Amino acid sequence: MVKLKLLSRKYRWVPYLLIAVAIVSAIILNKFTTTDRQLLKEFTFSILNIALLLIFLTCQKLEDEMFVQIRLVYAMGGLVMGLAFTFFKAFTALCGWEWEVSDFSAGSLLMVILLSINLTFWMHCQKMQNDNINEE
Amino acid sequence: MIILMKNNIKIERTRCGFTQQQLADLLGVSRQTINSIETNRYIPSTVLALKLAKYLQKNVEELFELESTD
Repeated sequence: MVKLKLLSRKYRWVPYLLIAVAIVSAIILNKFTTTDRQLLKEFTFSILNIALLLIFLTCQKLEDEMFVQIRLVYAMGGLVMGLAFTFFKAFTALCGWEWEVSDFSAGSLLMVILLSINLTFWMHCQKMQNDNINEE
Repeated sequence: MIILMKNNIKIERTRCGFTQQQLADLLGVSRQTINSIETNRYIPSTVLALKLAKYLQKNVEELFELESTD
């Protein structure tokens, strides 16, 4: 049985605090300092990525072996999503469409991956909860 | 040939008079896990299968069986 070291539920406020800090600091630095916008964007993305990873690695109310398996499946799914996104962006750039490959940083790719992992995992958990209601 | 695993958890749980939640609490797992096992969406680990067999008072072979389809 695979065991994952997950963040305790009592620290589940930490990633949300990080998200708030990232957004507030981005707004403040953008308004009141002359920090390079690209650098600021990368800084904000990296904090948001840490927060998203922590959200994914925070314990559910009742964590068991099935949730570990689901986490691993969706982590892999996120990787596939990231690859598909990379291919799509490169393809659109090749076709001379709107996006530029140079706009596409590692931070933004990681954010796409982490967002898709979190979103699909959350949707799966919600679906399982709803499935169970009438099956006692 | 595809080999699938089917189980009799729901039948045995009902026979023992447990709800999904009660069985989940005994095993230390979530109700979703019991539901997923019963509907063949999740195959439990050996540890969990042995625990199920213990609480449902059956052998593991009586709870789980392999089924082959063409």
